[in-house]
Amino acid sequence: MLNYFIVAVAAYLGMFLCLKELLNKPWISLCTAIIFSVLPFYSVYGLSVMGQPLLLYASILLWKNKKEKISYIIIFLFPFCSSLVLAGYADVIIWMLFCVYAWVSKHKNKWKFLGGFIILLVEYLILNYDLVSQMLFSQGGDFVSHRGEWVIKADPFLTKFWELLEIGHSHAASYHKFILVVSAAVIFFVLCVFKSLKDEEQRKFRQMLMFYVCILFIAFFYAFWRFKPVVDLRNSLGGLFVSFQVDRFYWLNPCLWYIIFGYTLYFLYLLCSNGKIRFLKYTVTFLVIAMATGYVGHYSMLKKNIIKLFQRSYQTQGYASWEEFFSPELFAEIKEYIGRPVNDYLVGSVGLYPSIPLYNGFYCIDGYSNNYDLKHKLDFRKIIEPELNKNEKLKVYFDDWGSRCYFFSNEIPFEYNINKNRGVVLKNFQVNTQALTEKGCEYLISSVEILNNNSLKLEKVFENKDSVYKIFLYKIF
Amino acid sequence: MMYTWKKCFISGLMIVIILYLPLILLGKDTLIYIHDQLDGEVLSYILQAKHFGEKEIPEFLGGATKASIVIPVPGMLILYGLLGGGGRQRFC
Repeated sequence: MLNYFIVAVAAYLGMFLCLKELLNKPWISLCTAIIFSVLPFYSVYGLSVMGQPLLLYASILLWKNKKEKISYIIIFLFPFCSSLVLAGYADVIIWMLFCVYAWVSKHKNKWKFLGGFIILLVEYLILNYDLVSQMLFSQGGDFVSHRGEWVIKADPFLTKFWELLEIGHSHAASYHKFILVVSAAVIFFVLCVFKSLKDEEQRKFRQMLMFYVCILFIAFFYAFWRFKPVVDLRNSLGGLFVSFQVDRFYWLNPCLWYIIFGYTLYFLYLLCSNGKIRFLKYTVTFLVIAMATGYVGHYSMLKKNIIKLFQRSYQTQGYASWEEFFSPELFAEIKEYIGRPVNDYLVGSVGLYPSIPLYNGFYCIDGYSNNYDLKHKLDFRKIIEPELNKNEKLKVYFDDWGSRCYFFSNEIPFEYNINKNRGVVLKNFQVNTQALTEKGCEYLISSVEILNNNSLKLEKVFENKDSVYKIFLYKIF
Repeated sequence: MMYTWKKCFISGLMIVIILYLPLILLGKDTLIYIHDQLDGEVLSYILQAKHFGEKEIPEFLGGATKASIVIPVPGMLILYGLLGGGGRQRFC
């Protein structure tokens, strides 16, 4: 909660200050920054997405040779609050390009700008030392990552290109469809009257187009990285080319879209201030802002929590409260029932995210990891093989990627969060119990009843009124 | 001009704070998006904080090396390490 709060405030600050530097219109800064801070972001990624405007602000200050102390403080703090692999590398690359540009154009602040770049780069490298050394040098020892087995799937170029341009990506949600439409219209009209604009406004318009070009380029690169010939090449090269998603530049998109939104408002107001339609300028800008607020607000996690505040029993797909999700009391009962030290045995989860038993202190055979021992993947594959053979999608999902090392079931594919009210029952769930026992796994914790399996003995059913799960504890023998 | 900026800035900040106030009021009952948060990264932080300085995470994937959990944001690991169970719930 607190983290959401902090990230939202940082998002607001960044966007407000950024647009202040770029457009110098208080009302635009205010409205855009509020709408931006309401976007449904992932709090676990800190400022990776929502902090981008703050970093951009710092770079603008350095470029303009203003308030350098503030900008160095932001640059210093940013790597602590954001992720190198998800977004930081993109910042570093872009900053580097601007450094080159500053040097070539003999910009008067090139040294300061380079200084900012060095702070950012060095800090990221130090903070992510383990990861960087693992990526650059051989991993040492006999550790072979399951990443080595990854096979990437190609996607049609244009589909992906449009998808990113139109919808964006779930990790960096921007809900920018309205910006796309309104800004396209505004660009068209501004082009019509471009000659009559003042120099200052022409410059701002060029800036807006530059941000647009960035977005187009990011979408192009995103699609390119998934384009069939490129994917084939990546698969044959292996290593970093398979595992590193360089196309994650789209983590910057929400920031770019809302800056474009700021420019859109600027030009919309300007266009409506001329000639006979002057009376429209307040109405039109107000309508656009209201539409944007409504649209983003509808998807925001805030809306769900405001409903929750007034209606405590409220539940919604894809969301849960911490306590509901991890159900600590229910799992304490299970632990007590088994009555042995937790490090004595392993458990597996069916129809349940393994993170839940894991949180509650169980030792788990399954889990989500983007970099684990290939041997474990192959061993685990033997265990879940009967179910994989029933479902081609699950099979490809596990074989080609496999970062989710879960107990899949053909009857509930890709579902790991089954509510007790749904009354789901597995009529035919198979698992290689011999392989399970060899790995030391003794219990299956299941959120669904398993009817068929003779090698699983139902020990006890656990249920309480607070938890959304009904847990069936099975002993493997 | 300076005055307008200040007024805008503070009123906007107040709006954002008020908008996010329900989260503080709800505290540990806040609805959180599950995907990649509760089902993944939250545990990454908790486990890495718990086994800080050790080589292995014994409860994960039947005993896995530290490299198997990559934490996204270094600063948050520190916070998760400092906070206890209840604090983490409220922080998230």
